Amino acid sequence: MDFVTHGAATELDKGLIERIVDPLTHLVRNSIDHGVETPEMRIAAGKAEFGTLTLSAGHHGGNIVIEVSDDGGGLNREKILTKAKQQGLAVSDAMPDADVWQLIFAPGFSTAEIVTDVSGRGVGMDVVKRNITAMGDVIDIRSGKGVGTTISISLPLTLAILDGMSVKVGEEIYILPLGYVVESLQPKSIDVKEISGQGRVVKVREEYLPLLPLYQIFGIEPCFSNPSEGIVVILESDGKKAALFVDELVGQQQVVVKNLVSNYRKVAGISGATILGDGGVSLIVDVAALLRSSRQLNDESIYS
Amino acid sequence: MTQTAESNIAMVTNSDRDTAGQEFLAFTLGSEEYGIDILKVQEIRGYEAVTRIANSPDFIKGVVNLRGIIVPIVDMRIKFNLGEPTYDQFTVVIILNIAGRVVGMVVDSVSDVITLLQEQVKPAPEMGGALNTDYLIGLGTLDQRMLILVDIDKLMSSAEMGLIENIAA
Repeated sequence: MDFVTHGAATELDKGLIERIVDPLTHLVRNSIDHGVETPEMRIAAGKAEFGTLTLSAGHHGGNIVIEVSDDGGGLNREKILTKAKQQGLAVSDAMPDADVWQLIFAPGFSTAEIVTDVSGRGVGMDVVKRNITAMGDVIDIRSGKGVGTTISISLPLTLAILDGMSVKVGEEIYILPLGYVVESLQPKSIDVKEISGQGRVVKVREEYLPLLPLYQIFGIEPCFSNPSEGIVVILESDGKKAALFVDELVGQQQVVVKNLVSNYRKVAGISGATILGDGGVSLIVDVAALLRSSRQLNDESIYS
Repeated sequence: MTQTAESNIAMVTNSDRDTAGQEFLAFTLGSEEYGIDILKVQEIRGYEAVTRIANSPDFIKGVVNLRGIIVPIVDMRIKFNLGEPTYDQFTVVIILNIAGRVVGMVVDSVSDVITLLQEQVKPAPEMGGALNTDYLIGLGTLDQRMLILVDIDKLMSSAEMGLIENIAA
């Protein structure tokens, strides 16, 4: 059995960790006990003798996503449906896979033929689901027969801690999640090129990156409108790079992410807010969303 | 005997509640006096610097830190075109708690809490005022004063205010 982890540097609030650790342990145990087949079955199915269990965590569009993934036999649709019918649950054969997978969270539900010393009582997943939804989180299952099962828990970025870089544009301070920041520099004016009707690009290490002026995106009165006077921060997400143009860098700090949605609504380009040392509020830039829509920057409707 | 006394007390409190009416917090916007259900009000504060939210309507001033929670601030004077939106030490923010959500509302001033009996509340006439009649409970009269009683729950959760994300959107 191989155990692989990704995103070990992702940080969470301590309280959240305490609450997530039990459900997570259960999911890992489940994957090992139910998910991964016996070595004989694996060899027969043409897979490596040792199963692989992957535990990953990362920021994803304003959420923290934790995934427990195995390369085992996958969930057995027929078996789950048969069992559900026996238990008198309202099911039909035409149910979409996603709904069938949700059945395993029902109380007392287990398709295991034998109850082992670690699992098979059908109690666990019910409790897992209850604990997780009590935190306001979403749990989602993806499974392919013979390929494996992935269970992902999506935590809203309310209690998360983030390493942030604070930048200033005009009078406003914004936080950029440090994980997206590659470098920051002051470009020479010769490196900034205009592309007719499509904004500007900046040449960084023989690479042309789209220039995203933060003041334009958020409608701020900037100190500088010429990139060679301010600073550009090179951001990278999903393999896509862009240069975010700001007035100045303020510093680097750890921030506690607060949710905007709990009292307000989702704001395009903003993933959350945080409280600064002086008691003021600063908004956290949703870098992934900015980069996704960087090509349509001229389309003002994205931001309004 | 004791039994009768107890039931008498119960009767008194009951009838008290019936005739006591409802308490409203009175505030002014421009030259108009408004009233909202006092039970929706969490606290009243001065206006402090807000953090602007990009690309939001101009009546949403931004967000503030209220003891660790992020609260949006709405300026009713801008929203309803009433009075001059000035921000000084006299500007008042009424912090409302509506269905578990906390919202701050900037008004010109807060005067007092008044109790209105059922018969003092008249239905609002249909007219093209700043506020849609749908958001009004009615008009409250107390001596020479007339208060426009606002159904603040309905107003703040309306699509017009855009404070709460539409599920469909």
